Amino acid sequence: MEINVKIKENLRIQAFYLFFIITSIQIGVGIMGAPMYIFTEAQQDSWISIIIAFGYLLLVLFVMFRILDQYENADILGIQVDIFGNWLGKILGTFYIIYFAAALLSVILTYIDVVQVFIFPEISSLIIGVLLISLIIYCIYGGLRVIVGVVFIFFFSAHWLLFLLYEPAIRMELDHFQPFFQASFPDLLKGARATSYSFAGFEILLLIYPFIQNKERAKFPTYFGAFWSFGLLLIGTVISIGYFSAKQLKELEWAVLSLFKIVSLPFVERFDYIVVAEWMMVALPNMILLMWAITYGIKRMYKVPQKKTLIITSFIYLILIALMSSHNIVIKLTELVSKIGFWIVYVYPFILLPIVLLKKRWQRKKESESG
Amino acid sequence: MRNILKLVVLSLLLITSLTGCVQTKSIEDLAIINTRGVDIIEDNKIETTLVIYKFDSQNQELSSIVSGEGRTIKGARKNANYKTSFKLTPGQIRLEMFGKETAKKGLLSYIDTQIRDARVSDTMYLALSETTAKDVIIQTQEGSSVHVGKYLYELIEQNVKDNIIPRVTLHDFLQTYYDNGHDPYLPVLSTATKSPTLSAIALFQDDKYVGQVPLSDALLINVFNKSIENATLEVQLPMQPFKKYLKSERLDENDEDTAHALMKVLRGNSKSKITNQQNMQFQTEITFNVTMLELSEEIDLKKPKAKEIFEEEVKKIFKKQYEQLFKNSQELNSDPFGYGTIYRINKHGGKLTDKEWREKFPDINVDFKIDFTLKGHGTTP
Repeated sequence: MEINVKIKENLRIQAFYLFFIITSIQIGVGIMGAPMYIFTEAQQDSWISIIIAFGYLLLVLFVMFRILDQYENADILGIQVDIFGNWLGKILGTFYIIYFAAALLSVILTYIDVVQVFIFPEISSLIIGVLLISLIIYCIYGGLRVIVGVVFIFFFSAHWLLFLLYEPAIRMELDHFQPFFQASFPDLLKGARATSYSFAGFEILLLIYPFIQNKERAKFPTYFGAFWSFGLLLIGTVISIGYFSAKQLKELEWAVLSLFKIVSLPFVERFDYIVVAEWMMVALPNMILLMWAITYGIKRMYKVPQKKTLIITSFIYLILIALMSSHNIVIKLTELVSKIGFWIVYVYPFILLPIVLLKKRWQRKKESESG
Repeated sequence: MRNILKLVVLSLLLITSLTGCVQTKSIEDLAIINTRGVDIIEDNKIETTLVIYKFDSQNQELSSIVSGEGRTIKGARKNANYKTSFKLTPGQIRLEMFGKETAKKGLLSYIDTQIRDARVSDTMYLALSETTAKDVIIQTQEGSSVHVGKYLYELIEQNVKDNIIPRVTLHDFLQTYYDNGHDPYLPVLSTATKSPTLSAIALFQDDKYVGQVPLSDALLINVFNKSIENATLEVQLPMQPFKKYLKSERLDENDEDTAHALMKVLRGNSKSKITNQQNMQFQTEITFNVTMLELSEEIDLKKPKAKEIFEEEVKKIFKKQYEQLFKNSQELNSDPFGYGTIYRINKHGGKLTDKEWREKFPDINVDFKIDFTLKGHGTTP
């Protein structure tokens, strides 16, 4: 397996699209439920938790860039093989892909669950599953550039939802935030950890990096993308805390979606229905990017054609969707993904970086000795 | 290219066949519930009275009333469904009314069904009936030619928009209910005068009705929860201090002892704070900026002195009204103002249970400070 990836010129993408990629993969189904999880830990000081989480997020991104900068044009799968050797590297890479696959499954199942709770309780999960998967397949068939295009368009076609938050925002009770600074530091950290599921996804940077044409400009869009997701999560959580009372919020599974229940316009009485449907625009880029990561990863490591894996994984997903669509399973799966994701996404890069640096230094030393 | 074409055809096929996946709901078959009355009848059963809309071309009557009994709200709806050929749908309920007896036992268990169902709107209004909810609905139908549901809903909505009564939607009720140290309240409808009228504001302890205060106090409570504008205020003033400032010189023997003034509130808001934590001393500052609309006696408000006296008199009246309202609510041990929230914020740790506040609330003292400014007096002073 090649450590560095050779990407044809016409397949590369501009660095500024990283902004849309990072934001789109971070903001998906996670944000709908995040306020409850954060609030349970950090209470009215949840906003501090989110700020802490964002600071940490920037640090992780910085570390990821440091790792990637050590190589000419490599991704995480290649780097792992370079560091740990062919066998161990591939096993770790497979872990990475399984994690992506589990994340994708939890995203699809969560969205199906939401549709069933909010709009069609009697619809079979398999049908929404088929619909979503066929959309995913269609996009992946187009290749990375089409995927990035879809992400770009959906970014704009989903963000108008923010204006609707005006209605709950003016009904906020500011005393829900008071007294300030009551949560202890460990609680704040626990709250920050509760954001891990909604913030996760940016690890795709490690996979998509070789495709970037102008790498020297990749940093700003990435950091800014993370900042954007941070802003959205902060807005969602702050409005939820102000709008719902503490006891309500602790039991509200889809707090951000429930915010839209108060929105009512003269021509659409119940805007929440539209919001749930519209949320597909938010969740779909997420699913597409994850599916791309899975198929591309398998192609990279095992040289299986992407289309073949796409069809096979899609079938497996359909079976899993049919089997696993019960609310409790979805919640359990999401918890599991967020737990594993925490280690893979937020901790692992910090372990990887020193090893990469050591290896590079050792290599240079050897070269200078032999040279 | 052919691949894509195939995919498109396939997806189109899928989409057209997809409509079969969910139950279709054509509007001709639906009866849309507009207002729901909930009462407890004997044996702890629930009786719901539903005002429904039917959109059927064969049907002349647009709205009608059905009722059902059951152990749960949903059960009662199912029972009501036996009596109509239409499918009853709850997604558009605008007003949910509870009988007073029901409210005494607590409303949460009935409201719980609404929260659980994501299809129920958060924007629906809640109200109490002086007697039973059924009574109000039936009386309205008999007494007026308009649609019952529309009438009742708009009666409340209009008054909420005019800031006469506080806005109590499902969400508002639940938010105040779940906020420790703040008790909810609901408007009360009565049928004493044949057609339904707003008659009072019901105060709650948690979710249980404990008593009511007159409708004139509604505005006073409303100021606590939001900044209001465009509401009207009516006060009754003693004439004595104004004797010197009457416009006409004639001193009529049958001059009234009191003057009535109707004013429009340009801006009214309140600010409460705790002044002494140990003695539970609170202070509330209420600001009213008003403009005069109607004055029954010819007081010359152009004179600064007269205006000053007028403002002082109104302040006194408001202070008294507030103190009376506060005393009433303390006697009922229900805190619609949210002093508990202020106490919680200033308390060390920031936690307060409902029970704790129940014990403390009757002993708190509030110093009401009214700031009343007459900004204008219409075209004639």
